[in-house]
Amino acid sequence: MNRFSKLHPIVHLLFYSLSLVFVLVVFNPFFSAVSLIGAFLYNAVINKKGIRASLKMIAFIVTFVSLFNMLFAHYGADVLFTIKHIEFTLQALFYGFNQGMVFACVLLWFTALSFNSDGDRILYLFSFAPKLSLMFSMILGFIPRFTKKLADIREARLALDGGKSPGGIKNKFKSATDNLSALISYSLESSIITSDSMNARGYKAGAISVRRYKLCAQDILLIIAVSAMFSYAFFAKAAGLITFIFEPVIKIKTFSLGAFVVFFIAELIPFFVEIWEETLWKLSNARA
Amino acid sequence: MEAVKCTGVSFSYPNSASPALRDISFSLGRGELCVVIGKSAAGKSTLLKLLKKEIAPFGDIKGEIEVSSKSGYVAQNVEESIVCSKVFAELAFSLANEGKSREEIELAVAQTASYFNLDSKLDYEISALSDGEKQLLNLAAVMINNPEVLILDEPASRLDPVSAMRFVDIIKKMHRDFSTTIIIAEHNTDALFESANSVMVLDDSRLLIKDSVDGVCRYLKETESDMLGAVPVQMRLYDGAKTIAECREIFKTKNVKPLEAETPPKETALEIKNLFFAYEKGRDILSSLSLKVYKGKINAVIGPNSSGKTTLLKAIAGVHKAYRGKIKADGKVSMLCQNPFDLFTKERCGNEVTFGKTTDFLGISDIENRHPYDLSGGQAQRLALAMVLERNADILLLDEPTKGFDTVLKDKLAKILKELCEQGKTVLIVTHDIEFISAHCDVASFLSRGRIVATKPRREFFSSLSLYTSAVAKITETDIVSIDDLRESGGLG
Repeated sequence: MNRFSKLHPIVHLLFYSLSLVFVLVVFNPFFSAVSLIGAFLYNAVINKKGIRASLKMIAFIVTFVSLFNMLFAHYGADVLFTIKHIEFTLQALFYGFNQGMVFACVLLWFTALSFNSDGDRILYLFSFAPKLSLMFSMILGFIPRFTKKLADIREARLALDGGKSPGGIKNKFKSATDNLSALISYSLESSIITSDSMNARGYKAGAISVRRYKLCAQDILLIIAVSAMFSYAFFAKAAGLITFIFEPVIKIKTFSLGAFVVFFIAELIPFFVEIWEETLWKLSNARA
Repeated sequence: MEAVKCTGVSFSYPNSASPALRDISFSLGRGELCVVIGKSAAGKSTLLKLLKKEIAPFGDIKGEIEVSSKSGYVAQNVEESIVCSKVFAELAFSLANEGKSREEIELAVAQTASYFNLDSKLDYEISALSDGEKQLLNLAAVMINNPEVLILDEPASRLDPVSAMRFVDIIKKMHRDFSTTIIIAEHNTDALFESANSVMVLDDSRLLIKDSVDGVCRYLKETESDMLGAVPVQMRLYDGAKTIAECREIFKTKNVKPLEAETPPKETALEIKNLFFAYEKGRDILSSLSLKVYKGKINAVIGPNSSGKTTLLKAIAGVHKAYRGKIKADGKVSMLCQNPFDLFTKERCGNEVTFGKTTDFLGISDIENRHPYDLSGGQAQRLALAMVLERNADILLLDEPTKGFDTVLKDKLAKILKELCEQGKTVLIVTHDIEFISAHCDVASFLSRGRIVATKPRREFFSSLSLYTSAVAKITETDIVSIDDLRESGGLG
């Protein structure tokens, strides 16, 4: 269905940037967990086959970062065990646990973002700076073209030598730099042709056409809702109503239940939008 | 009323001893389709670029050029001409430059995409398109502005023949539908000549003649020009005949003597048995392929698009590893990929290969101090061939070696390959170029869906086919399959 993907790019910009910034700023296990749940549920809806992979990824990152932090950081009062006079503490483990959740959260939201977004949407957001926007569009085109060209160059060389790749580190390095210099020659050469093509089509600096996205009622509603909810949460944080202490002892200093609930709902918006769309679809099918 | 008018145009590039164009005068009427032919470096590209003033090359120009201000230009470079990353943005590019409103742009993009059958690809990344589609996009991105004059510089020369044919068909359709004035340089004249209103022949920076198709054919025949090869076979074979059917009638009246029987070659240089290859599991590109490549001969493999021709060569060259089957090569193998420019990594041709006997033999001794990227297609290929020979390869694998070549270059290549075979080398060519290969190979094979269907000596092979064969074979319906065969049998005069 992908209803959330089809929303206005500004909704995406607001939602993803605010979510990520807030999770990083509060650095609070309750909020990290809630954001992680929201990200996981949304990823599960848009890619049902990826559920297991997401779960594995979360488990791996959280475990790894927790243990990693405990091995190398030794603050905190509660010593879990000691090896050769080095104390391993609960506080370090827990701090790592939260850090792991934040990492997993960022990864999952970015996966969702890449699913929602594409070059056109990013261009649209940059359309206030047309030159930058065109440059961005051209670079997006260069990447696949140059990658393919480099592969062609490598294959051409390999074919010429009857499938024998150069032996020894020195020769390998030389052939890699040769290939790269061939790619650079190509890119310089091709840029002349591209600029001819641009001139032939009447290029004027500052002109770029971007796709049109119309703000519909749902977009406006979501923009207002997302802004209001995050303003509330940020305000609570600024007022010192959400403070979590990791050391020397783990302690919830202050906790705003209101901000927590509002944030939780906000993080579930993509998931809700999808579910709502699916329900509408099923209802319309049932009626037909 | 003329759409294009050139009077006494001469042009020289800076620091160049000889002019690129000398005293060119011609005009094109509205709605005229004019095909420009000429050997490489005859000045075709320079002339076409001069017609589009925004990209006119820098240099010393004399004479007068008048072209309608609404003109569009498409170059032979498929990928490099593309500016944006998405199909929609690419189509919208020129309209955005004109400052059109969003709504106008969307409407124009919608209708242009429908006309060029790119509608379903509007949201695509351009990198996901095929080469044929990319070049169609280049054309569509120009046509979206409704140009009165369309300038095309060998637009199909980098495409495979099937995509090239489709591209030319679209040009013809556009000419019919919009009566756009079109000036096009193209080697593959077969499909274009039947719709062209006029043909222009450039030779050595001069305009030899601009006349109707018939007039130009007559002129080239009378002057025994080596440009005659650019004219489709059926139009130049017999006086007064223009189609295969007409030629066939004339051929029947000829008293031809049978050609000597071909002796099938015996000694093999390379043998492939039951080869299987797939890029991804379960989708075989080569399946149970067996092939014998004969020593000291020009061996050819022909077949439709995506039948596995390039993959076969890459498997023999060791770029791809087959997952089953055997390749037994008697000697060193080297493959020349489709685009010779991919091989050049140095700033000077002299650093790519040692100049001497080999380069003299290939006729490129004069390019030692030039940058490889300044070479013409024919020179680049011969330089790449020198790199192959420098590696002492016994078996030469060539992938579409005649792509973008005019007939003069093709003949030169054929001569070189024949001499190499006489020196004991073995050549294996995969190609779409039926006219070239039916005239010059010794043995030919047909590849279809990853398997070799048949391998036969040249004349037997091409006379056993009726659709996928040379024009001469279609005309004679015998084992006379090339113009040289026809001459030998006495069926030409």
